[in-house]
Amino acid sequence: MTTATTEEIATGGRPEGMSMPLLGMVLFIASEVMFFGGLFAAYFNIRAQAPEWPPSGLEHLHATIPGFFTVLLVLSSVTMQMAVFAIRRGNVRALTRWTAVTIALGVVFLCGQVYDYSTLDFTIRDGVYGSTFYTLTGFHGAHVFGGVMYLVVVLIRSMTGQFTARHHAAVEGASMYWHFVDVVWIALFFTLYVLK
Amino acid sequence: MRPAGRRLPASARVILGLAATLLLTGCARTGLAEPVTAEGKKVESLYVVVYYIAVLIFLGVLGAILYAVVRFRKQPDDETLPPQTHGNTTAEVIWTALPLIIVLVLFAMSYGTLRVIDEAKPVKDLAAVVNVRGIQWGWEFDYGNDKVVSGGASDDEPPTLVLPVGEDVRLVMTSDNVIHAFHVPNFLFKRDIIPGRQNQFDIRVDIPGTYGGQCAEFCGTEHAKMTFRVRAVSRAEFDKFVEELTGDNCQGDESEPSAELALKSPNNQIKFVDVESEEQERCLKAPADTPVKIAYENGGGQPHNVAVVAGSPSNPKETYLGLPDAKVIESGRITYDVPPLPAGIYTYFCQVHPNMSGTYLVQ
Amino acid sequence: MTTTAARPSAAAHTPQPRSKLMDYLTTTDHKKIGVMYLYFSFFAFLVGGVLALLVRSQLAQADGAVFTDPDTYNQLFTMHATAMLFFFIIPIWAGFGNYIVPLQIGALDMAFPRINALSFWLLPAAFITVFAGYLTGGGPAEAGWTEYPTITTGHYAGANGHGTDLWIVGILLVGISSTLGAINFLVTVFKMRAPGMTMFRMPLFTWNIVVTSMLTALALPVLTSALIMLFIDRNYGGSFYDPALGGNAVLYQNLFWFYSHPAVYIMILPAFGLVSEVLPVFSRKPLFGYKAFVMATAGIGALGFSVWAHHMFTTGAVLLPFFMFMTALIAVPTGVKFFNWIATLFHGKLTFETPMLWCLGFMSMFLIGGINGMFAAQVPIDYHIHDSYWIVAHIHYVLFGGSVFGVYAAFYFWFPKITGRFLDEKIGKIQFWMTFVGFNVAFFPMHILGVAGMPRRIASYTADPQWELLNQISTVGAFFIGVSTLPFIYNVILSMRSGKPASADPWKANSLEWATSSPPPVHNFDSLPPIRSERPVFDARIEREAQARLAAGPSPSGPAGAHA
Repeated sequence: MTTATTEEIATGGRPEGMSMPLLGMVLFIASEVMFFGGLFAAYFNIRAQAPEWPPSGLEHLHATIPGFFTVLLVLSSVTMQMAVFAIRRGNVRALTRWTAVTIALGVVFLCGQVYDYSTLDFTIRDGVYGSTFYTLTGFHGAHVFGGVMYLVVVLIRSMTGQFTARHHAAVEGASMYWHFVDVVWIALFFTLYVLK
Repeated sequence: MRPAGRRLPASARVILGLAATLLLTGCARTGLAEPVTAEGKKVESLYVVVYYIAVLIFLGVLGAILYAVVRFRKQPDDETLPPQTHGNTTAEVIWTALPLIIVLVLFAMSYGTLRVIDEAKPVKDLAAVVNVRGIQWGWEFDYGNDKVVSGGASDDEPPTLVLPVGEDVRLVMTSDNVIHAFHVPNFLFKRDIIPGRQNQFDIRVDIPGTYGGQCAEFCGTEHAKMTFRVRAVSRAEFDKFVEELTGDNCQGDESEPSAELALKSPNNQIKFVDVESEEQERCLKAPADTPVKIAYENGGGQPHNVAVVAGSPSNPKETYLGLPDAKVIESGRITYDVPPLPAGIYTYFCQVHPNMSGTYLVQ
Repeated sequence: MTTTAARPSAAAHTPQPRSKLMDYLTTTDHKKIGVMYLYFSFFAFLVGGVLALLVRSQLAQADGAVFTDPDTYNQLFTMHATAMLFFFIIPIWAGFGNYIVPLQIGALDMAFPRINALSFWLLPAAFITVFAGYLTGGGPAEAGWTEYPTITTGHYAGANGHGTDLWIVGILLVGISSTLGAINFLVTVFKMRAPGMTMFRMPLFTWNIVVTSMLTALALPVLTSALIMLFIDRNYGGSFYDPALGGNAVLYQNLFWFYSHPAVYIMILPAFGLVSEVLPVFSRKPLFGYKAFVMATAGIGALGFSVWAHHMFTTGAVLLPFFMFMTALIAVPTGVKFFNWIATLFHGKLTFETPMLWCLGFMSMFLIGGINGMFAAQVPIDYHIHDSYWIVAHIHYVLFGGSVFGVYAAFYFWFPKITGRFLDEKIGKIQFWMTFVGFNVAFFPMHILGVAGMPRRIASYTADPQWELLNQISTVGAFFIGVSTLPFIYNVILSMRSGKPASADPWKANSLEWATSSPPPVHNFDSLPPIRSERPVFDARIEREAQARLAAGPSPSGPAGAHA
């Protein structure tokens, strides 16, 4: 009678396909998609029943400056991917460099968001327009902030030499998360600033 | 001792007995409120059919379980394994199809009933349109022209909604605060009353009498006390009741009569509002024996017009402005001409939505 | 006949450097976390039960004289449902899942043990947050567990205290806990199955945990978004749900039920899985139609996303025929399960140990819960019975007659595995019959109250004198249920000390958790049998018996048809 020993159970597992942390990240992102799905559903539901959008007294949002910061965020996705490519080749120095650039772009984006808020003449209290705008962008901003924190951890671990070409699940996870945050922003940008 | 396997154990007998008593000797209508409306009768018929299907399913499935429990007990000294059957595709296809058929039949019946009870009747066939407003915690029944009966949790007697029997009436539900639900058990019907939304249904009460009703959607502290009564009376008695209600008749309205009146309906809303304040307009004042112009603006989304009558929207005695002259517009602006009228109390309303009404006071 | 291996004493196995308490507080072992889940959620069950008895006391008299302030009563039924749904039924299945799923798939632990510990510890924090409402001036949440706006948007009497804010925050914490837990289960099952354990050899309980985890991971975030918007409306001047400011009150209901309907399956599917494990063991047959079960489970999960609006038929704001049809369609996979269960019993050799008894109770009671749901699925009938006591009867037949009976079955079935000792059978049977009778006395009359028109969530009723008698019967039944938990608690305490010792495989069961000692060692398995079907432990037992017979010489009688 054949039996599997403890060692086999421990090491056997299922090495094929995605690593466990990465699969966890994919599922986490799936649930985040549904979270933003709920917010978007609320937005479109409210916008569809509104007699005019934006409500009278408010101008349509200007897309130029946020558009510039959108480009920066898309660019940060590129630099993040460069970081991943670097560590897959085992280039820790390039990983550190690209991660630092991504963090910088993320921080600039957040500053841009704060600047954008400061130029607007409505608040979260001003009816559904304000409520939806600040909730959607605010929660996105919080996700960017979380992503930056995650990247800072990656950066520190990278600088202390904890990643190799074989072991860098955290970097892959961070990049996946960062791309997700980026995609959400693109959807938000077109919905809030462009769609008329 | 005789093997216990083939005999019904006491527990099974108790359950079977209970089930049989409850389901067969008990009538299908046990507890069900007696329907007094045409729509309620339809629901009752559907309920009875579903009830018997339910009993059949229940007895069939429970019977199969109990049969297995009794018939396939392990004998004390039998340590062999039974045949290790893993499944049977034919059987499984059959018992996938069986519930599917029941579901389809039920759906067809329910959908048929639903179409009948949810059908909106033509406005001209309605004997009355009553605005039902849910408040925390009580009711306002508005028969048009601000003829309102109201009452609530703090009163000794619940407010009464009077309806004519044998004719279709429309109940229009609105709330300015929280969600309520209008439920009369004897109608076998309820409908939520949702702020920002106008729900309505048409109903025909066939049996005269007084029926209890209450709010069925949790609405705060005194939810339990948010009761009302429905009194169904003959058409003549109903008309007399409405006639004798004193409307608001522009009490508290300080405005001066004017020959140039203006009204507005906001986008997708079923009400008249003041052009400037956007508050709901309940009163128009016009000078006596003078032609009057009403400038009306429809914000779009709903067809409206403005009619002026003596009497109530559902029971006009004389129509001074109305279809076909008072055109229905979907959006935009129109001016209606009201002929000179002697001093008195009249009613203005929308002929598409007779619940949009107010007092037209000629001084 | 297998010999019972002596249970290695814990002291001899591992030295204990820390106290047992510290051990549990800091553990990342899925088994210890699972046990903590069980303790915590059973505690919440008792709390919810006491609240239920207070609710029933109030309703024993028409004028509701026990709590003269209706707000107190409104808080009671709100907190009762909150405790039962969010802190008992959902977490207790997470508890059994935690303990059992890694064992059933032959894994060493959950995929992310530390996240697993976090998932658990968020729950007591959430519980304290929600119940801290009792310390605020306005009392805890009081608008029902659904917390519909606009009553909860903050401007209206009845729910404007901070209790509702605490409730929202607490439920958000439960949400984080459940989402992390669900992701953990999915990764564990997808990545950590033992060699040979293909997806279609997994035990049904594990399958059901997979489907509920999918539902949780994808539906729960929508509730999170709904609650966050509610919180913004209440505290930061938002207007998502306030029609006076352009919002939409029905929007919340859509988002809320998009999660909370699948949540019903999250609460019931693990019980389905458990019944599908227990029936074969005590019928001595394999599960009839294993693949059909998996498909039906997945089907219920998928349909679960398209039926949420059947909670909103009376709003007049949903597409009635579509949701009526999809709702009724749920009956098809559920029906398949019932028929397959019954076919599993047929031609078996049935014995009626307590787990089997609870499962048969589950089948007959959930049957009623399915059938009375069929009434509510028909829109014209739902117009009458929506928000009435019929619905209260329905949810209790589903969640008590279904889920709770399943929970008890799970306790009796897995208690030997978890502790190495049996729960007492005699006390167990007494408890079963007490609960069974009490349950029906408490909840069956509610059907009659419902069709008569008694609305739920009312602190007093004057409409109809007959209602009082039915309510009193129901109250008596509720207290009977309350009493029936006492023998269970006594049984657990007694059996943990001096219960009959259990071997590794005391029920002669099928799945892998029975291939290791009772209780399992820290590393779960010393060895695994080969996995060639969905019943590896059964296969191993048959092989062992065959070898024993060979060794003993040829014998004419054997397990005839064992591999038919």
